[in-house]
Amino acid sequence: MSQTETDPIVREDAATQAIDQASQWRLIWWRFRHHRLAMIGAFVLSALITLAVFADFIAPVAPHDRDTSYVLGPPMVPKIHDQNGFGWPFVHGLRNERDPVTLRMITAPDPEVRRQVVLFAKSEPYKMWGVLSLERKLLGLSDGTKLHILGTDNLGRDVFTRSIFALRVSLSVGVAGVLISFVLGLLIGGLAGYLGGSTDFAIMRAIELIMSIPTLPLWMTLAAIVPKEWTAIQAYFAITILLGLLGWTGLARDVRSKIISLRDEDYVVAARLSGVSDWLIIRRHLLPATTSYVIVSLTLAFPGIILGETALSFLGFGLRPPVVSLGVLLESAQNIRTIAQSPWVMSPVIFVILIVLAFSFLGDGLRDAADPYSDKA
Amino acid sequence: MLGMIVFRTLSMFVTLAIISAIVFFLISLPPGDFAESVALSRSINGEPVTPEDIQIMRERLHLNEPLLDRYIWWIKGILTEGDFGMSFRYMTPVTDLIGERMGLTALLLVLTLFITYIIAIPVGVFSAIYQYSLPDYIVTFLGYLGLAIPNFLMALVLLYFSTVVLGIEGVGSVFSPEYQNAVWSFGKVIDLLLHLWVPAIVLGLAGTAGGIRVIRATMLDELNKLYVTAARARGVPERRVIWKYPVRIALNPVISTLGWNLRDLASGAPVVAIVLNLPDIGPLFFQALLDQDMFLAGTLVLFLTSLTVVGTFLSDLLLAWFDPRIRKGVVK
Amino acid sequence: MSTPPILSVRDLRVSFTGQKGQRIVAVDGVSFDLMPGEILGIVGESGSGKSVTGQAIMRLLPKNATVEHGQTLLYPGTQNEIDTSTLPPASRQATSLRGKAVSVVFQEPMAALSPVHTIGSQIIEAIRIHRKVSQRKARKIAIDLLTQVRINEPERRIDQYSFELSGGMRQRAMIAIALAGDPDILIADEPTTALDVTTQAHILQLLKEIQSERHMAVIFVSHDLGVIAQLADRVVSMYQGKVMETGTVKQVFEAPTNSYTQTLLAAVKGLDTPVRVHTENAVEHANDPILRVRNLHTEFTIPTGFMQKPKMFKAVNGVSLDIARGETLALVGESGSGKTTFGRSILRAINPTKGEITFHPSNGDTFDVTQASRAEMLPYRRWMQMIFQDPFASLSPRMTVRNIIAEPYRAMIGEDGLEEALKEITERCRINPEWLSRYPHAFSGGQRQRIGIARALITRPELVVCDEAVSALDVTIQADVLELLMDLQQDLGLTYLFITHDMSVVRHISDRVAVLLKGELVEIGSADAVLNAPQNDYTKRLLAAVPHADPEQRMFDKGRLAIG
Repeated sequence: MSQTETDPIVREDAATQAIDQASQWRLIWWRFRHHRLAMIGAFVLSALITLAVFADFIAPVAPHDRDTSYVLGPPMVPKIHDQNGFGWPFVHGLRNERDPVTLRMITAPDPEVRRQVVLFAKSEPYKMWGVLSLERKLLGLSDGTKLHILGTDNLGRDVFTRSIFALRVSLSVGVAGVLISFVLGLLIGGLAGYLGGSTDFAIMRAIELIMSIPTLPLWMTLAAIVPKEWTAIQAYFAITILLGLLGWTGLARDVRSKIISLRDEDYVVAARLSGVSDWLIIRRHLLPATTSYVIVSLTLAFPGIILGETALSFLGFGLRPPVVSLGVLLESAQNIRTIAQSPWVMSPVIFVILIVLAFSFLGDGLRDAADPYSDKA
Repeated sequence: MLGMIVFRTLSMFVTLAIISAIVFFLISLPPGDFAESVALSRSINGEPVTPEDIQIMRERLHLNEPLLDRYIWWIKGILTEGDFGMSFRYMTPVTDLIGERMGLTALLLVLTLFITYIIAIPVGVFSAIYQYSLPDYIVTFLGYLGLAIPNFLMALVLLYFSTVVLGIEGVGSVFSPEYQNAVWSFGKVIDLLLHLWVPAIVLGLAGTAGGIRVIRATMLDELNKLYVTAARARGVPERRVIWKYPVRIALNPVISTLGWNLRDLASGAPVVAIVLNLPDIGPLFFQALLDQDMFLAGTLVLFLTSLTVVGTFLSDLLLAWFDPRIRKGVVK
Repeated sequence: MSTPPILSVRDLRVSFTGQKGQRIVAVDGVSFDLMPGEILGIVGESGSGKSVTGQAIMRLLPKNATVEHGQTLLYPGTQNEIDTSTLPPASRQATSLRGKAVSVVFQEPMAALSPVHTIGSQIIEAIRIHRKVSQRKARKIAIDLLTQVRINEPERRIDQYSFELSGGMRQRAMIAIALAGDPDILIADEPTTALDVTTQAHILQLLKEIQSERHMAVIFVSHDLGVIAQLADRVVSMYQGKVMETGTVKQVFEAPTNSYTQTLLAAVKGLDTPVRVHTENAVEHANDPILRVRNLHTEFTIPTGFMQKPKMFKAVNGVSLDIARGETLALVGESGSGKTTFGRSILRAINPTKGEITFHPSNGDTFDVTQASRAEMLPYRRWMQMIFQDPFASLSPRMTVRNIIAEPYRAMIGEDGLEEALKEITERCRINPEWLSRYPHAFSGGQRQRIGIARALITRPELVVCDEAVSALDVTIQADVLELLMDLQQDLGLTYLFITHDMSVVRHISDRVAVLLKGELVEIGSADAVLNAPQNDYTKRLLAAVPHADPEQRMFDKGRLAIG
């Protein structure tokens, strides 16, 4: 079928008038809404962001708090039913007993004691985001003992608490890294696409060169050079910048190819012939047409940076304690015996997978919606 | 065609030269030099080193000269004697440390690439032909998952599964005990391959998932092209239509991204090897970075990069051979 | 009629499922018969369902299409009778009929041929599907077929790829493939629409000859009434999925009974007649050119391989001409003639390599276009504007119609008087004020083209380059847009450089005609002189190749014609 056959004819009822007057962003949103996976991705992502932002309040325990009576303790899953019947969500109390096999003293659940899970439980005073003084947490136990939803690590620290604080750090590394990539990619790719000629040639060759170096080994090498004397915060910034510096190449290529294809579009030629200045052409034509693609590229760049951070920290070249990131948490889970005996210490990995999946779903949906003027479904 | 081969070969060497310069720059970045590192490690071992000793060593190793001269000296060593410099930790030439390990890494990468395509091509084609069917949804979902799971985690899971659940020790070893110290033979090669497929699958997970997605997407585009309809219109049976026409075109992105695919594998390989403790360059690289043993680390990065550069070169040639439009210079 | 039809389409209804699940009926109760050995022309504008009918006969409908009811009976009344509409598309039975009972030639030979297989591979494949022959024998048959479709050097061509052949040659190869199974019916779906007019004539002639040699039945689908009039024995005219009229070519063209067919024919015949005798007008202003072009060259570099000197492609090669104030100068040529490059060069959308262009606006200035810097160009841009071919690509989908039309005014004049200018130009271009708040995706091709015209004219230019301004439109809409352009010329005193490949449009509107061939001007003169008494050989061939919508002047019936 030729183009004109699928062309909508002007209709005068209200619904079609809305479509006729819909801007690019509205059309993108309408199309995006129909992408089920992307909507799931968006939902999961906003949940994760909520967890990360309100970590101080949501986390039942403080991140560096050690529960010496519950080292490597298994997850406490709230129940509503046990042999004593139904009840308000609770976890069982703990008691010390001797392990029948190893004969060591261990902590085990006491099925006769119920500790109820309460909302807005009273807690030790803490400062939300470092400023807001609070004395309540979202969840807690009725008797004031600590709730370890995902269990504890080898120092008795709460895995869930640390995970959502780590989520905050990892997401911030991702955001900062992507922002650095974004600025560099847009600038360099835009320059190559707009100037063309030998500038374009040189930039493209440089990008190919950088892209031919395997990413992770390069990251590892650069990270290994970060001086050991640096504080955890300095290392955090160094690693973030590193991840961002090496991630811009893909975006630069996307921006460049988009600009080159746009440059010769009839409507851009028409604008040039109408004496519209370069700056206005960029602002009115090139930017609005590229923005949606840039957003897609950025969304799809997230997983790479998050996975990069995780792998680096996992190997011990990335972020350093006391900064907790998802990778830092996993570093302690390297030992196969630890995993075998207390698999819950691996649970931060669920967050990694969730972030990556959510961003991938979201990115795919955005990509399908990014050009609402194509015929593609 | 010949002009293109010459051009690609030349540009490959230029690329390698520039990358070696970058790597050398990285090597020189950490504060302190090789001589100081040696001095430090010796004094830790209780061998006192005088400042004169350091000076002599510096002169012998040209450490007082400018960066550019040292780079030329390093490159000259590589090109004329295959000398990549000294590992200060092991106090031996880097070359002696990495010989067999590099071979194993290269073998692992090639094997992984092979497995990746063996799985990705048919699954991707199938998934596209039966778009929106249940198997297509399953494949798509597994594909997402494959891309989302960090491969070190896969390696850990594998390790956990084999040691804890199956009770097998030494997943990381690449030979059965009887071949461990045996001389190379056909049996040893087979044994090696039988051991390597496990790390290969772990390593190839993301690549396979990515490959399936690329092939599925290209197939979906190509299936709607007029030349496919035209083939049907002349009475070509459906199965033949698919495998002769759209699949052939869908293989193009597979071939053209072969080099990049290899790069991604090379990127993940050290991590997987570290977790599984494979006797290839992974653990060596890890240790070198921990020790800031920069000649060794740099050489390994250079090796991995060279692999991908050569891979890209080969994939360009392969693509030209495979696609007449590129061979005849119609499309770049 | 005593002989039974070879194909009978009965009450066929095909619908598509849209993206949101809505049903779009493409073919709605279509019935017709195809007799052995005849050429049946199906004519209609875009959206008429003519191509879908062909796809339904072959069971090659897209996935989202369903045959709701009706039959497509092959060999009706014989023991071989089969209703193809009931066959599963990938079934053995359907497959075995394709290429053998019914073959098809598509509009875009480049897209219909695999880019990575040789011509030979595809012909031989088709031969060996339908005949049990060895590879070598099949290759011989293929070379024979290539000879039959008049491809020169068939032994060499058989091993070439589609991208190594010219457009006409590709279509010949497609025809050879279609003939490989020795089909009883050939469906030609707009087979010459993508080709130049002289190539079109050759392909049409070839189809006609092959048809009569093989006594094959042909369904010729086209939007071009000229082509149908030249080739068809009987005609089916279609509109919005329905058959409007069926009859012999003479009946339909000379005494159409259906009002739609009448409108269609009127539009075509209207195009073919000059509206105004403007020749005096042009002579009158001959000494007052608005634009003077001398020895214009525009070259492009084609990047070649490594270490080779880049090739220069001379798109415009030494063209000199004057455009008189108030005239319509038609610039005619086939693809690759450099006509579009010429049009863009005089507006400096492309920088010419050398030569002189002087622009003389009515304020008495003399402006050297070639030497001007971008800044110097700026004040003159408002007097020189352009209307584009593709109404879809030339409007930014991200801007409202108001902003699109206002863009040149804002850039060159400012906000002062914008509202009045907008109001006036939209009225003149028959644009409903309600459209201004909408985006381009709300409009059809013809409507968009009017928006494009309004944008070009809002700054009141004096010279307007119309680059194939109506080529992408259906014929009835073409007539509307051309009428609008001519009214605007009258009212606003515009000068047009009208770039086109369509000779009937040229005849309709031009005062003078310039003919380009490979970047060179081969003939220029009054419309009357060039169109009725061409001097140059190429112009003669070009004009001879144009199919007229008049079955009395058939070009292909009596042997070969003199189109070179």
